[in-house]
Amino acid sequence: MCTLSCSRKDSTLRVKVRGELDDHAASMVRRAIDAQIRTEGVRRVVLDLNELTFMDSAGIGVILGRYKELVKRGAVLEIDAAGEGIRRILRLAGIHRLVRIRGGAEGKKEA
Amino acid sequence: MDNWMKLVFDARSRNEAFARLCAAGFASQLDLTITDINDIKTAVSEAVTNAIIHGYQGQSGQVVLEGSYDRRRIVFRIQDSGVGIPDIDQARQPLFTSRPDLERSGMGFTVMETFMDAVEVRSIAGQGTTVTLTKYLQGQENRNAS
Repeated sequence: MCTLSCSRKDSTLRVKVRGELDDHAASMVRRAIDAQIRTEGVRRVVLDLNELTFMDSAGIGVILGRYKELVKRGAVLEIDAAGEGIRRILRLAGIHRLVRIRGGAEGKKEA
Repeated sequence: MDNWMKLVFDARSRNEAFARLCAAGFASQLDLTITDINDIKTAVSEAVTNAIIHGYQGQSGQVVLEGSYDRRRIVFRIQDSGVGIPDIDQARQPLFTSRPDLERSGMGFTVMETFMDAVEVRSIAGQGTTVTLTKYLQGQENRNAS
């Protein structure tokens, strides 16, 4: 089960993903985020994964896809993730080389 | 072998969560860390997703998940009777995906290899694929002894 909520402040869109992000949830999450990204004036997207309890490589596919879409639009993606399990899979996929990851000990150092 | 289980389910994406929770429940009978259980959940999820997306490619079929353990290791076997993998070495390369249209990351086997101690893939074109995931229970000594 995966749910998603979005909030907008000026040019920043915050997308909170809760629950489990796997292949089954990926297409719903992808469609919902893309619909928000395409609204006028979004320059920065913060993907809040603090309440995500599970993610596998399908989630990595979703993040990389949104990253490419935002780069194309001249916008920035950031990730907020404190959970070690989620941070581990983000690191494994090298997401930290493309996207600023906040939250957790490593994020505090970076910030 | 001290314990064994077998689960057969339809190749539908909604069963990915069901399969990994069953695997985690089976593994939780052992004295494993939460990290070990999460590793198993993630690796099983990857293998089951591969069976559904790549093995059956949206067609109907069944996936078999078998689990077993003894004092030294816990093993999960994920089997489909789908199309098979034409080139296993290529499929195991990080970032390789046969389905870029689905926005797959190509990290599935890398995740399995990172989170488990051994990953074996057997596949026959037109007959299906079996992925065997092994985690050793007490660190390096058992790994070397096996």
